Amino acid sequence: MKRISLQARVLLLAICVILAISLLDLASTAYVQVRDAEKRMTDQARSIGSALVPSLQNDLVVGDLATAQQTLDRVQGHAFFKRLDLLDAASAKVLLAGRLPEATLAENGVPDWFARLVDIRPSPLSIPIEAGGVRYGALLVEPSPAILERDLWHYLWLVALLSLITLAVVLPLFILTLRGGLRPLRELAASARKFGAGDYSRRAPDATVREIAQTARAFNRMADNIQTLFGQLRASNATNRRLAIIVEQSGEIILTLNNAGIITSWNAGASRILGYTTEESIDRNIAFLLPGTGSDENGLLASQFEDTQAGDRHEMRFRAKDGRTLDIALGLAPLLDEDGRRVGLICIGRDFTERKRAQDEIRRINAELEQRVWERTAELEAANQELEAFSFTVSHDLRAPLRALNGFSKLVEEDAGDTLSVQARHMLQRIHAASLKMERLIDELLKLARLGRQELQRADTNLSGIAEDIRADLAEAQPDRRVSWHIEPGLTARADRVLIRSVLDNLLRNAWKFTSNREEADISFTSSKQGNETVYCVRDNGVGFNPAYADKLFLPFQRLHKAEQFEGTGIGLATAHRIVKRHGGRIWAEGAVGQGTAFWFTLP
Amino acid sequence: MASESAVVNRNMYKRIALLVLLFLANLAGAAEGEPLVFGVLNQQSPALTAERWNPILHYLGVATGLTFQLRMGRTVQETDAMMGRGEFDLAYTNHNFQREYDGAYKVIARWGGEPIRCVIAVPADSPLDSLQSLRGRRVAFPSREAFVAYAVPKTALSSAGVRVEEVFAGNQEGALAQLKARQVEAAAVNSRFLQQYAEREGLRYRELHVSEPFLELPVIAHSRLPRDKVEAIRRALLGMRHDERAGDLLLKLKFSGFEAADDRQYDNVRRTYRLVGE
Repeated sequence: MKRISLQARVLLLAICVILAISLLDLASTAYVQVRDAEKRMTDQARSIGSALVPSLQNDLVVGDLATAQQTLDRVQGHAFFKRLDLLDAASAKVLLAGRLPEATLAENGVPDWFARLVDIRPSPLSIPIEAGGVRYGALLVEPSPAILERDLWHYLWLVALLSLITLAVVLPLFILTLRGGLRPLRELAASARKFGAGDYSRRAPDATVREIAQTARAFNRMADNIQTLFGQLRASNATNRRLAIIVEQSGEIILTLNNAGIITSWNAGASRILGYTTEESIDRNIAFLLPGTGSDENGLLASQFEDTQAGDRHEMRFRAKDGRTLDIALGLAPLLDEDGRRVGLICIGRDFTERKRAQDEIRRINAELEQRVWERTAELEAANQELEAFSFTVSHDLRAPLRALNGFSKLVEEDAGDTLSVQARHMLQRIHAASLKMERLIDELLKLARLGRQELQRADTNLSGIAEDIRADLAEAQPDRRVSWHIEPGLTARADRVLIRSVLDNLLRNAWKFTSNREEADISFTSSKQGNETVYCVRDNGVGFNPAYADKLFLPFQRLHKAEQFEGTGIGLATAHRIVKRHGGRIWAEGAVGQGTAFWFTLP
Repeated sequence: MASESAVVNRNMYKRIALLVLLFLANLAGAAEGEPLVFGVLNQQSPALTAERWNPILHYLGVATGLTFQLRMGRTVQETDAMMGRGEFDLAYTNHNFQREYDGAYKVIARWGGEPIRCVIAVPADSPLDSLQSLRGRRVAFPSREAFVAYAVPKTALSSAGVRVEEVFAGNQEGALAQLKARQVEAAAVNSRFLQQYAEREGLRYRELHVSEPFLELPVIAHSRLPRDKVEAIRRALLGMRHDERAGDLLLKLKFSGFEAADDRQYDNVRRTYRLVGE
């Protein structure tokens, strides 16, 4: 069916309605006119006939039929009557008949079909002619429809002409009005068309016609929804494409199975790893990938897939097209339809044949390493036992000769001191002093050795209190020294109290010792925050040290000053270093020659 | 054979005699059933005349057992000619008193009512005051055939030696209408009509001449009518005013009924016609 615009339809309908109404109006008017005209003609005929009666009365009373004939002819000259007859009173036969002139007998210009259509048939009238109770005859009058038909014919032509003129005038106005009225609808249609063509930003303009305005708003809401949906669809498509690309270009095996274990999708990664093309794999049971006879030797049967939950993992062995057996790590997830029903399985597999091989190698190497470590540990434990035995030996075996040396040298001096020369006594004193020093050295070494084996017993420790105790001991030992102490109160740490006392004792004694030549010595124990770490500092204004040797400060038996200047065993800072390390902290020193020393340490 | 011939002849004679008898009987019946022709002078149109006279003739038929047929000519002259040719058995006219018709008809009754006179009237404010003052003036008459309104005033004017310009208005209504419209300076009409018209139209007039009284028109019968029929008709006419059957008719016609009259009572009419004829 040919598509016709709404405007053309409305126009066509309006024209049809106008024509139908015009025709109906014309027909009804014509019908009414005909009926009225018939009645009017009858009334008029009655009037004319009645008017003729007095004249005919006179004629008939005097018996003047010639005059009566003239009267009838004269009236018939107007061609108003089809019949105008004078009937005899007694026989009712036509006595006289009015004669129509020749001219009026001619055609009245009305087509026969029209005359038949209007079918005007005025009723004949019989008017009695009486006078004084005597009937002289009757006048038969039958109006002629010709005049009425002609008038009606002319009237219809006139009406048709006027209708055409009216239509010619009204139609353009109607079209203009219609175009104006339908403009919002056309714009709405244009908007819908452009929207349908892909211009999703297109919206229908507002309209003043309520129904069109409602439609436009509904269209705009629909367009908004569609545009939003299209945006979401595009994003979804992009996501899907991206996912498809990811799936397709993934280096891993990604395939889907239906509930019967039939492969329904197969990505390039699967082809690359397993060697089968998509065409060779689709619609085949997954069993063809299983080594051996294709049986489900890995226990991955379709029936077992039914219980698979998202995130389930399996390690399987797949047979590649080239015959290789590959170790595949499979991630499984059920494939669900829109209603949440399980329709298959998603399998994502990674070839970890090489990795597994490497893992096996690593596992083997680790086993070897563990074996070696165990052997080394055993060796170390043996060495430690030997070292302990050595230490024990040193502590006992070395102490015994030292005690003998010390004791005998002391006896020699006491027994034969008077006999000995000054030089000999002096040598004996030096032997005695050296033996004492060596004994202290042995004690410090033993202490340092025990540190490696002693178990830490951490507790909340008042560092400031320990520092105060040490300060008091030192001040009591040398009360004449002028030392300015500054110990920050409230310093605490989670540390082994015995060991941390040893650290502080070493550091504070070190400061006391190296400020001994200062008139006004300054020794402080403070802390500061460096990030989240508390750093403790023991500072003095002593002789300092050469920073170039800072890395040697904490090595056992390393001394940066001559023993004549400052006595010591060279074990103290090494001990402090080991204790701090055992606590997991750090210790370092800053200083310069003649400008004092600062020891920093942390206790996490 | 002779006897058979005689029988045939006798039958033939019988048949002829029967036929003659039947013919005569038919003639008699025809003569008995023929309506009596009643002529009426053209005082009104034939239709109005018929409206007035057909009911009267119907009554006469009922009262006498006779049948009557109204007949008249289109004009007074035609009616008079019909009367002159003896076409009327009865007539309502006084034109029979003219010399050429006088004698054929006899008066058997007359239209009832007061006698009428001829009046020559002028407008009340007219300066004319005598017949002589009408000399050469336009004077309206109904028609030449009018008796009271033409023959009578014509006689009076002739007797006075006055000649006027005659204007015929067709009837008395027309004559007075022209007088009212001052188309004429005088009008000659009968006294009864003048009075009715003046009352109806508000005409103020003055009488210049009033004639002697003349009786209403008579009903006359042709001398060929049998006496008994004439008598029956005369009785019916005179008894009409007393007959209940005629009550509605008389009321409708505003007519008191016919009165007895004879020829001698119309001698003044004869005399007038003679004067006019001279």
